[in-house]
Amino acid sequence: MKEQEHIQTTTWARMLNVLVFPGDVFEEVVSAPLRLVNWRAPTLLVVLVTIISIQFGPFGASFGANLCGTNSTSDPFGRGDLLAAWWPVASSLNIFAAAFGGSIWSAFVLWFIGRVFLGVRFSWLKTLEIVGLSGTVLTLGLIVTSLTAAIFGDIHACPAFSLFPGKLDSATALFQAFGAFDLFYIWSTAVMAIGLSKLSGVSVKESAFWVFSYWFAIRIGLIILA
Amino acid sequence: MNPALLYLSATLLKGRARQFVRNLRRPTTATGFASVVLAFGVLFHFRRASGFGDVVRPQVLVGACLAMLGGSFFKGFLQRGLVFELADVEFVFTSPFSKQQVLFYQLLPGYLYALAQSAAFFVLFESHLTHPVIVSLSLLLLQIACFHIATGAAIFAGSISDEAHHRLKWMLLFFYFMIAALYLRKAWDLRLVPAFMNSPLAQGFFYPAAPLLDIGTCPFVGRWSTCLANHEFAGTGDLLPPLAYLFLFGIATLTTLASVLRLNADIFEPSLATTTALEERRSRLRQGRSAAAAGEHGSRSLALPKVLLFRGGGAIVWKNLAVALRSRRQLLLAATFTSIYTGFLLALRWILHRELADGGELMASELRDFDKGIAGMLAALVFFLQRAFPFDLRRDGQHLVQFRTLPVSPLMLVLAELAVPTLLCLLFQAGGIAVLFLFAQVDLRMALLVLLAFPAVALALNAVWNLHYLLAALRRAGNRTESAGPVTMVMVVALSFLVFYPAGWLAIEVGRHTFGPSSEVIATMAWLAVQYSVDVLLVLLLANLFQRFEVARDS
Repeated sequence: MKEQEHIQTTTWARMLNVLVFPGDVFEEVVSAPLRLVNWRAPTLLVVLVTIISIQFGPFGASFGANLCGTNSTSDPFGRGDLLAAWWPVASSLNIFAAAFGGSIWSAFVLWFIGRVFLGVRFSWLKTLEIVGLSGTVLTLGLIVTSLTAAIFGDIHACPAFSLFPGKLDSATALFQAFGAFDLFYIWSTAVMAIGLSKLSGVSVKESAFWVFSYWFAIRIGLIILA
Repeated sequence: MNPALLYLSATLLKGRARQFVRNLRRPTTATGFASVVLAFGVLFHFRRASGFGDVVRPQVLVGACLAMLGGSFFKGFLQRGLVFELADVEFVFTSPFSKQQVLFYQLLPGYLYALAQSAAFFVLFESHLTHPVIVSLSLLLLQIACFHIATGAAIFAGSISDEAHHRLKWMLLFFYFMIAALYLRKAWDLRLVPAFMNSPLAQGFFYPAAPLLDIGTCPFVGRWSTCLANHEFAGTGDLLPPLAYLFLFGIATLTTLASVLRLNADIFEPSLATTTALEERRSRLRQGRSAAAAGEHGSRSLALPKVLLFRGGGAIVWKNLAVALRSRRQLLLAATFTSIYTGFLLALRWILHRELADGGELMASELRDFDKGIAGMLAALVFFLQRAFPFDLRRDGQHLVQFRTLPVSPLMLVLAELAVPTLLCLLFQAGGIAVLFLFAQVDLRMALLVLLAFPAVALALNAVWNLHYLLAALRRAGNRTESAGPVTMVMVVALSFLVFYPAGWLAIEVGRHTFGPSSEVIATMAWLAVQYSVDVLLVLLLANLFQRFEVARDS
């Protein structure tokens, strides 16, 4: 009997490898026992990078200035200082909840796609690991987005189609729809499609249809239809 | 199309028409046909009404086209293969016709149906259309195209596996849902999606393709921050520190739980030994025995007593005294507790004494009341001490059967059982009382009260608890091994206080209704009289219960 040797990589190695060899990483994850650190570590990294990007990048500066400026003009008691102290806390908690809650929801969506549409049973916790590792791409995307915004001097600038049409109102549905075509969103969605393919055993094309249907078609549909 | 198949189609059509006409003789078929004709007649009569014009508006026609195209494809996809007559399977399939000829043969009725449908459309909507002929012909061609699509979908669906068919079916439904939502939004301005679904927070549902930077700086964060800042400004932000503590302790709880769950040590072997030992201990306690395992003490036997007091029922007193002497650990624990308790009370009295010595002023009556309070607290010590001396029916409950064989009256036996714990309670209280007498200015009346009241209290409490122990022993003897529940314990504790109620109530009433310097003495005497009466009643009740033990056992 031929024994198969599984090379166990560290979590950090998996997080880096998922950027270049997502298929291999997910094969290892699917065959290995449950390790929720694959979800926790990348998601915490995403939270950390987002908080740092906001607090020390152009997003936070713009948001803080708008918030405190708006209140200081109407508030003679100087509540602006309190606002400046509180909004980073509220922002960080919001990001924490969004990242962890979002990853749990996305894992459910992937699991649901597999269970109902693809007719394949697999562990929801394994799906959570896949979603968590896919978040590594988002970490990279956050850094690039912050740099793009800093370079262009526009907080709405991001590596997406919305960068090309020139001066377009950021509130319009068209701008938002273009914004959905972010390079890193496409990348992370593709990585999740590969993950679903490995989990369910279906072809990448088929899993990509479902993953892109939710993460792109429905998203753009919501932007257009809302 | 092959002429033979054309002839076959025409013949079949003619046959079906004849069959239909013949079926009109049946009332149900005739009624159905009449209904259709009538409905068409009504529509034809009102064909120039404005409502008909609304039906041929562009958005309705587009919707109808989408429904026809989508519906025909889905119908064919679900059908999985073409549907023929059984006779066709037997004769057409085996004949030398090509695939295309068979397909035409299958589609021909559909073409005729499309022709009839477009003719009806022309008749009904001709007055509302600019180019009625072109639109009707377009409808004819669209309907035929739909038949082609349905046929193609049926052939394709028949050629794929069940698994692929299942997955494609869901894909189609998803696609139709998106198209339908888009059509309703654009054609009819129906918003199926609420506006908040487009907010940054809702985008969190698309993690990891979510704009976290927008989520972290969305208007909600601004509102939340303003709310927090306003609360702190108004001084109502006191909830935040407790919440922060709660969060921290929650994290600590989860972390420690995770650490415990990750321990690789074997839990079963050590747990088995611990559980067995604990269960033995519980079992001993349930049976009224000592919590320590037998054989741990290794005490020497004591010589038989020569004092007359320990003869007869006194032998049980002697036995319990022997047990008490051997239970050094329990006596030590009780002594330690008593020292702490009385030490605290005497420290209070010492502070008062020092303050008075330093020139503090206090009325004599107030000082006496303070000393009475200290004495009362010392009397209350018996509530705790009683539980520390299990040298009564708590242990002897398992020997009730043997006690019944002894030549001792039930009353004597009960008194013997109560003697040792009551005496020990009084002995331990005595130390505190002696020191109190040293500091306080105790007159004869007070000393007499203490000497008479303390035994009454100790006896009452021991009697109440022994009542409970005796009832528990009776239950055990009746093979009902359940231990006392919390409700029972609460009832016993409540009874421990209630036994002092009659005496207390009477003393207060007497004090209210008597006047002069002797009022307090009379009230105290009334208290003592009633309390001792209650004690006697309790002892008699215990004796009576013990007397009935045989009956309870037999039943």
